[in-house]
Amino acid sequence: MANSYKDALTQLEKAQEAMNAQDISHVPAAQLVNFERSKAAVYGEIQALQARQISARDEDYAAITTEFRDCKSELTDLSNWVFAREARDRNLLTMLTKGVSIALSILI
Amino acid sequence: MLSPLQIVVLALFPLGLSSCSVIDDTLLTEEVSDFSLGVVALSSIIQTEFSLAEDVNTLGFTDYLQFQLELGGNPNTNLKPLFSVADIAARRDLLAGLDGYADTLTAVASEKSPSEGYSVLDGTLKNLKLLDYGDFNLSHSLSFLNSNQLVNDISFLDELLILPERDRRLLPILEKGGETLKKMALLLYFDIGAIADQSSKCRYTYPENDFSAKMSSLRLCKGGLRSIVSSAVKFDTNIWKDKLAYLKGHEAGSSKIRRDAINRLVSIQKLGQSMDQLLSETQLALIAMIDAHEAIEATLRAAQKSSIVSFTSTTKIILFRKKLRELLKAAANVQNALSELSGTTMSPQDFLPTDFTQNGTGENNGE
Repeated sequence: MANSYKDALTQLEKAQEAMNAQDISHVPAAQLVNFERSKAAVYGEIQALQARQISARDEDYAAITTEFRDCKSELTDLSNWVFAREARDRNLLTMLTKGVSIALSILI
Repeated sequence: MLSPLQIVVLALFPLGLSSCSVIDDTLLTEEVSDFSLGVVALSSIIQTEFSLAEDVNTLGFTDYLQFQLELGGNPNTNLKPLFSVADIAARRDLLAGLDGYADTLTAVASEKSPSEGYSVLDGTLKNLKLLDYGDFNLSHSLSFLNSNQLVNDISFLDELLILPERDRRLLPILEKGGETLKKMALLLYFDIGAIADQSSKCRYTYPENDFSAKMSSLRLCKGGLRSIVSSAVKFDTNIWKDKLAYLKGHEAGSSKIRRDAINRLVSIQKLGQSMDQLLSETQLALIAMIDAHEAIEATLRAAQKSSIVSFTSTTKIILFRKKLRELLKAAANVQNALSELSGTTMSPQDFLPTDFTQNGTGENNGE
């Protein structure tokens, strides 16, 4: 959970970094659609935070873009999908899991 | 680095004019005019850079849509611009203020009628008074107080631009305008920002920046236009990286499709590097602009005391113009790199105001 806009930006960048580091070569198209949409939502939120001046950057954070607010279900689906996989597959998806968890944590 | 020709000119100028005890009016008018045209060109480039940032964002969005559709997704097709209409208007007003100041200097130096251009300036001045620190991207490196201080002082520009005729003397305008011009340059410098923290203090607070010190001593935290462009490039790069990984993992796509994807991935990264170089050079041009302004002011002050004229201003103006030429080339390169990925071609002249080429502030202007 991010407390401020400044914290949120830091957390979103961590989430983005982890998601970008994930090798998606073995992710099925249906899950990849969700994953790419989540990445786009995280990107949009980062840009919104960067482009718009937040008058008090220590104020309590609330998601700015509707895309990021609305991507909670995709993030949850991705998270559930990973946990339903066998342990061997889950190990190949650690960066995806990390990125999704961070993004979800600031949406709660 | 100065070119050999510039070094020769710099070496010859003092020899040719060292017998003068007061400043040459023609030289002064030319220098002020060159400086003013440079300011207008710089302002035009900064405005273009915000458009280029939007273009990079649009490129990423287009590539994202295409990948989603290829995967069988149903993406939201509404493009979200990076900047709001208000964001762009605030920068346009600030840059129009810069242009207005440059025009005023030229008019006063060439003894034109003081009322010329006033009707155009009037709207700009009203808008400058309405500017708010929240219109700019400063919170990454500046506290609320410092941001406010920069923006508030800009409204003092109207005191210089609508002076009665009896007060329209160049030196007092330069002396008063210097401070405001520096505030505007600082505002734009911070607005352009940095792609990485330049101070360890960024982790918990703001770096200590002294506005009265040399601009080259400023330390910024990650943020501003450079960071926004870097994020946009990273987003697009990762779409192509994922696309390549998907093609590989699913043994899909011909070797041509993969080669095209690789070329695209590399081109976008190169575009990002060129774009950041352009923005970083713009910050250096802002510093060169302030140095050139200070040098003209110092030259005039020395002339008023009838002492030997210093030629420092000529050197600084040459450096300012040199920076601008580099900037124009860099802007054209970025535009062309973008056009290779999506459209039309541009030359450095496309970024120049008409006067800039007509008055010879370009490549071969006697340097």
